[in-house]
Amino acid sequence: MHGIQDALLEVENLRKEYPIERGLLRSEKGKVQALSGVSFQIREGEVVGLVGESGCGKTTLAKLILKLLLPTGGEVRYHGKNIFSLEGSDLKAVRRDIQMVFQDPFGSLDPRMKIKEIVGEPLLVHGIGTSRERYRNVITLLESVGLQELHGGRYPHEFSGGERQRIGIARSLALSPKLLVLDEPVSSLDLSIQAQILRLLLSLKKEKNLTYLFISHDLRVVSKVSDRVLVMYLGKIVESGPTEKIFSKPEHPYTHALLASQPQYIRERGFQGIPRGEIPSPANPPSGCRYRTRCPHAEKKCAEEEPLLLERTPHHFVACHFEL
Amino acid sequence: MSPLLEIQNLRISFGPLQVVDGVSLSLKEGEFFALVGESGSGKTLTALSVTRLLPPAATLESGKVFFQKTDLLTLSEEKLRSFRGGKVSYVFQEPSTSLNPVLTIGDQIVEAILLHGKTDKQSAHKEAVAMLEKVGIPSASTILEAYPHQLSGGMKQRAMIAMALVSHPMLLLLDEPTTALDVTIQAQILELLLQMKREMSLTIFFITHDLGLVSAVADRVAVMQKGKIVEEGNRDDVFSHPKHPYTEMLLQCMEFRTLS
Repeated sequence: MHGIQDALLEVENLRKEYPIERGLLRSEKGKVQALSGVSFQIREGEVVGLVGESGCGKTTLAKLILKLLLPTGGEVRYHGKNIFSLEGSDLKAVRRDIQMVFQDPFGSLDPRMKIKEIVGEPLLVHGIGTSRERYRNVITLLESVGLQELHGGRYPHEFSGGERQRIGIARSLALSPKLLVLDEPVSSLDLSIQAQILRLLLSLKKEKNLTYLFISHDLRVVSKVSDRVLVMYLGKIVESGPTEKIFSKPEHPYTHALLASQPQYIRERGFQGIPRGEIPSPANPPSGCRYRTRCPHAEKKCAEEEPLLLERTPHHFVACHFEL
Repeated sequence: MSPLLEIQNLRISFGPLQVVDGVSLSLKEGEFFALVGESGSGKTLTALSVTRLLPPAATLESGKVFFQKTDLLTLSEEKLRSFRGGKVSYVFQEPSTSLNPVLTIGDQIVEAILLHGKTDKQSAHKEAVAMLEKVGIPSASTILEAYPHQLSGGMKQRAMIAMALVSHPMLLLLDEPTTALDVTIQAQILELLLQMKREMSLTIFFITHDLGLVSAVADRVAVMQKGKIVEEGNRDDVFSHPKHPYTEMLLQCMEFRTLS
């Protein structure tokens, strides 16, 4: 899966380890492998969904793509350029193009700033426009997410969770980005509000020609918004492919288990497909296939040899020794 | 058959705000009853009133809560104690904040056993191990020595459930017990609850915002909106033939039908 011509973003063999430090001298006692060699591409105009349980490395991946963290190894290329070797104005240009929407609409807005300051701050930082132009820009942004000019003079605490998420989205759009990394953008919202925000995101995408990396633990949400889905487990992609395929004919046992844990599935078929045990610690991942400790099909080979992520049918990649 | 729990015309306010506005519910013995509503609908306050654990700012204006034949709202504090954590147990949403961080899991479970039972410390310890094993915690005697921060979210919630069950309650109230958990762990906890319900003849009062969860496990469902019950019925009726537009709206949102 190398060298797709129209790839907007290419992630190649990306790795991130966090040291475990103990004691007075903070001596290193081991490493948490948050990401262990992740590769994928995002084409322009695509919505790529990323699913996985807590601790699988979803948020670490998001932060690396924004260069909020530096990797242990590997590259993130935007329009062919590795963002980790960019500096100065080149880096600033990429930062304008890649923006993030955070999960927690309470933690991600400064409580002492007015909404117009929050939404206008990226413009100020990048020195775009005069103060009057910036203000007009902010109003347009607020209107594009369903808010109004009068909201600009208020503070975050005056808004509900859904409205705050709209504010976060407006801020992320301020610099007219190309790619939005959305980290669990609706997880903390009520169901009816989730649907509203998702509708807004889909219409903004169409209107502004955006590309999304949509991170979520909720398969229902991902199945509705994504063109393509990546399934992560313990720092690795275990399956990826077109949304249709992943949800109707998943081939990795973990994807099976995720689907079988959905309440709708349980209602129809009971509990037999749900996985046993819990996700192991990324400080001490299992040898071979990382899913083997919970997999009903695991054999000796799975402990000895790590399965590669291979293309089984066009655009459908699976990392498993067996064809189920 | 007379109901195990009956809530009659419950009204709770926060100052001028009517947050629970005339709620009546009845739970039959042995059923899995789910109360569904979005945040602010009053579902948690309704449940908290059963064990009279309303926050100080809330005023109980009127209503009765009968557990079998006893009105829990007029009972003396002393008598209430045999119900609260005894015949009626409560599991809260956030396992990390409802466990005491400076006591071991074992200390906390043993404390619960000693409070409600007439056993000594040694047999309480044995009981605690047995209950942890029952709720599917591997190497239970090691976990007894562990502090809450050493356990995963799923394990903490299993320990909370064990703690709630040591008094052999008749009614188990659970407020969003799986919301903070990953989907595979959520499924495991739901399976555990159904298994415990069978083995210990429990009646379950399950509070959630997630209609999807309810579709997998509940016998009966009530939907709450702005302090009122807007729909109540058997699970299959509510899901296949919702009568109230709000229920219909929630079902649509649940499947994100309006997106495609």
